[in-house]
Amino acid sequence: MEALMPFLPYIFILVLLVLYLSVVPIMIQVERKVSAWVQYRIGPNRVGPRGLLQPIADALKFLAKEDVIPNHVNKWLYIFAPTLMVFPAFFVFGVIPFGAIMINGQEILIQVGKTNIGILYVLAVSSLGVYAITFGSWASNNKYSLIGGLRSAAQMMSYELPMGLSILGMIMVVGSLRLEDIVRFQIENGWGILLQPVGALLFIVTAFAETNRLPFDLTEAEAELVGGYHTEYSSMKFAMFFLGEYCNMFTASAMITCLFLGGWHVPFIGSMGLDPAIVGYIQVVAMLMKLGFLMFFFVWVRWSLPRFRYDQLMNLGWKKLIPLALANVIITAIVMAM
Amino acid sequence: MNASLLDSLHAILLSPEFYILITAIAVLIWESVGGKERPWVSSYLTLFGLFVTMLMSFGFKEPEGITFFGTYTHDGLAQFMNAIILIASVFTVFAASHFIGRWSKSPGTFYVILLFAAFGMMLMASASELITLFVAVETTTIALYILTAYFKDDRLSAEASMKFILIGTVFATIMLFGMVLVYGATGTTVLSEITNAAADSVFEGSEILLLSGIIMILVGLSFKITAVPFHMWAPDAYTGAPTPVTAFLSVASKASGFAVIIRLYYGVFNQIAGLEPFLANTFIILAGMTMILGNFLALPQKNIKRLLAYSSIAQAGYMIIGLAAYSDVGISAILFYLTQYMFANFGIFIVVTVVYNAVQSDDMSAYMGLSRRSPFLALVLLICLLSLAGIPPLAGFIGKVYLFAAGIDKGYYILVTIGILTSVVSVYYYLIVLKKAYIEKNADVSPIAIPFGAKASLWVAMLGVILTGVFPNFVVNSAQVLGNFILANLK
Amino acid sequence: MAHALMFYLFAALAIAASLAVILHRNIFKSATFLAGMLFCLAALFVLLDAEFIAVVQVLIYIGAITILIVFAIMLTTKINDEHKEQFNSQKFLAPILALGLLGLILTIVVKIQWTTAEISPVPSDILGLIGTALLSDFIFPFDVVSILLLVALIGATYIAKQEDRKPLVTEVDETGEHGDGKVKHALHAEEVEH
Repeated sequence: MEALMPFLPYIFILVLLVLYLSVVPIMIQVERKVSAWVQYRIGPNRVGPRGLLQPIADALKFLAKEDVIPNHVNKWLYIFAPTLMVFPAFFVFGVIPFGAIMINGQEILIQVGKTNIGILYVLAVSSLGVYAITFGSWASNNKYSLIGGLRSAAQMMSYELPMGLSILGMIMVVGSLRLEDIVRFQIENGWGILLQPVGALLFIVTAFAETNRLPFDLTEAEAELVGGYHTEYSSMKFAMFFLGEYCNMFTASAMITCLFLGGWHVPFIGSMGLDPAIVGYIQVVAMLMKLGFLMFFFVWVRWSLPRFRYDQLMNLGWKKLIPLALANVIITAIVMAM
Repeated sequence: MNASLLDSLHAILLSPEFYILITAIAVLIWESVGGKERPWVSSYLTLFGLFVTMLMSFGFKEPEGITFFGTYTHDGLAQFMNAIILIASVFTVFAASHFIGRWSKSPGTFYVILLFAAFGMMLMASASELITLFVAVETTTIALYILTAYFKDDRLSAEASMKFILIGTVFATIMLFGMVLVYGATGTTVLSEITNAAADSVFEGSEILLLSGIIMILVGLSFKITAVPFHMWAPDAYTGAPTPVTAFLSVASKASGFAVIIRLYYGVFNQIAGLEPFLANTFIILAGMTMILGNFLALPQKNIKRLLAYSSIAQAGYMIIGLAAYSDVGISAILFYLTQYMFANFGIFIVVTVVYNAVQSDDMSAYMGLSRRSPFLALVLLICLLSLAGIPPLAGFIGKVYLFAAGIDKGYYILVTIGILTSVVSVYYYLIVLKKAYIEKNADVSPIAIPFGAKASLWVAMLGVILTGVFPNFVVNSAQVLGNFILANLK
Repeated sequence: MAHALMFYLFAALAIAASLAVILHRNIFKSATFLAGMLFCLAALFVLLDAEFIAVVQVLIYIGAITILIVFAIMLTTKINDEHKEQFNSQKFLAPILALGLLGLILTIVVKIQWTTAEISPVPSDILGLIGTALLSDFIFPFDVVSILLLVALIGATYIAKQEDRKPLVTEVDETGEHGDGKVKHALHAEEVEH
């Protein structure tokens, strides 16, 4: 065990990578089943028992399909864009703490990168996500793709502002930018969703917009834009965009959990008199369950709500969310000063 | 914030800027509440705010002081420049009230941006720390970009603003780079600490760092005062901008630029060992080039605004002689020259707006037969143009004599000769305008009506030019007192 | 050693990317390279222990400014014509000026006696120090920045705003003039059409 200590970060990287990549097939299955459930359908039920092997069949299909690169595209950017899609999601994941486990009486944080500027880093890196969509849409040289890309650029820029402002209230309360500090503060003082309800609401809404999920998926809007930015993509390149979308969802869920749902904290677990080592593992599981619930929530919302119109989206972002977020910051400051 | 902390900050020193800000926000709110129905209220509100600010800033009890940890200094120089900027703003409001309201659909925003520009300029005159200075410069220039593009459907206005923005950004970057180098060499951005820090700088090679920084800052500021060779934006921006903005640019923007140069180069940089002769030579070269190029390029111009743009470049050249002199006489001469230049320039530009309203043209041919169509306008044009040319007994003559005297004091005979010769050149192109107005005939002899606000400000401008020319003692004395005082204080 | 290697790698990449920004004929790709160049700079900041600056660099320059540039390019038609003349008439003067600036900076770099430090020059609590400085010594410029942003905001709104349709004949009473309804040439003509 002692000998393993220096390699812990690498172990974490490996574990998280596996977790991350395995989330995608699970989510594809969940998405299909939940959508079927919402719409009174049965959903996939042919491949494997109860259709559970469907994601594997999907993956094989993507791999086996012909990889078409249309003639009219800008080749270099066309290939580059899908690879860029997963990059920000992976990058952000490095700073998210999954729990604190006890090894040899020593508390070890399950987190790959420790940095003073945690949240700023998350905001900065997730702001890069828009590049994949813009590059892909522009390189496709197709009007539907282009409109999808334009919408996405405008949408993500508009919603980054309320997203940053919604976190600001929480940062003011905690007094640190480190995600692990924020979680520890919540363990002592109650979950963020209770301390900053408006901030939590704003953050969840903007997280939907930043991940381009319904009701804000105007970048894809299949009814009007065919497929949006990935109209011209097929085979594995399309799958990469798909992968990126679910990775982003996962990252957003992790952020919501750390900021507002107490991270790995399980209420009242300290008063049950359990062995701290076991508590550590229970909490890691609790963190994963919270993530699972939020992922389910994303899917649930997608199949329940209609899509916004573009002007409604912009109005909501600029005229409602930003003033609300600013008011939240000011009220937080006043309450803290009192 | 409790009262004792406010007292210790001497926030009262900031009151002129504060009043301007309050006015700007009041006009902004009025714009969104009732600006559509009664747009004229905005201009009255602006005038009211400017007059209140003038009253409050000239009736000050304790004018002197440095506050906010050395970032803001309210001294004689700042007060004088505030006066110039405020009066120029009032003139601009008078020029705009009958011009912007007529050619733009939402005139109210103009006054808001104008007030913010005035705020930025006043801050430039008072900033005594490099970061504050840069922020003030940027506030001013951004407001001026917007004012230049105010007629947004007009291609010339948009083009002017585009050029202004592109070139302005480059020069802002150069200035910022210079500030960074100065900070690197001295380790401080507060002006009063730079001299000492430069004297006992610890590391090898800091001199060249400092010198590069000082030159780069000068380049950035030369852009503001349109010194050749950093003048290339001015003719296009001045021609395309709405005429009241052109007037504001040519007077207030230049005044604030000179304020910063006086504060930086008289107060700080020339104190650094061995720099004064070098800086003086730099200013001499700038002055010479500016006077020659400005005056000669004005000769072939056919558009009155373009001609005035070159003339204003040339006028800046005369004022740089005062900078080169590095003496109290030099400062006094610049202050006096700025005062009379403001009156003369605004007189001419308000005439230009009135004529434009009548004939929709800034072309020189629009001024044919002006003396028959409106003798008063022609008279104002005559007096103000002659004053700019430096014809006695008008104020421009005194101003030039004063500046040349400051130059001769220091033995800059060649520079003063250039100044005198180029003045003669300038008489030629000013007379071309006057020839159109007085001698040439126009088929259209319908009289030109002058709105009340314009008429009042034209009287003020004309009397200002005549009175400061005939009785220069008052302004000269106060300029002298201020010059001595400013130099003593800066050092 | 690895540290230095990374530094030179990113520095070289930054130079290559910035050259590509100027020389590439396709303006969209130039913007792409600009983002890449800024990313390399952020990496350099990280290598210099200036994490905060690096993150702010990514957040502001890559995440906001460059994406705005990309946005503007995508919204502009006929901007992607690769056969158009890429440089204007200043193409010989500009590199000379740029090289002059480079020479100046190189001179400065060579003339200064640099000292090296074993420990990182960036304090560990850099965020707290920046915050304290902004709200004490530099509170005045910090506040003025908010006014600067307000001006920019008002101006941007004014320039982007679609004007209400207003009758072309301007108010006569307000200016006290003979209102012959003459209209400046290009100013209102376009408004009538839509």
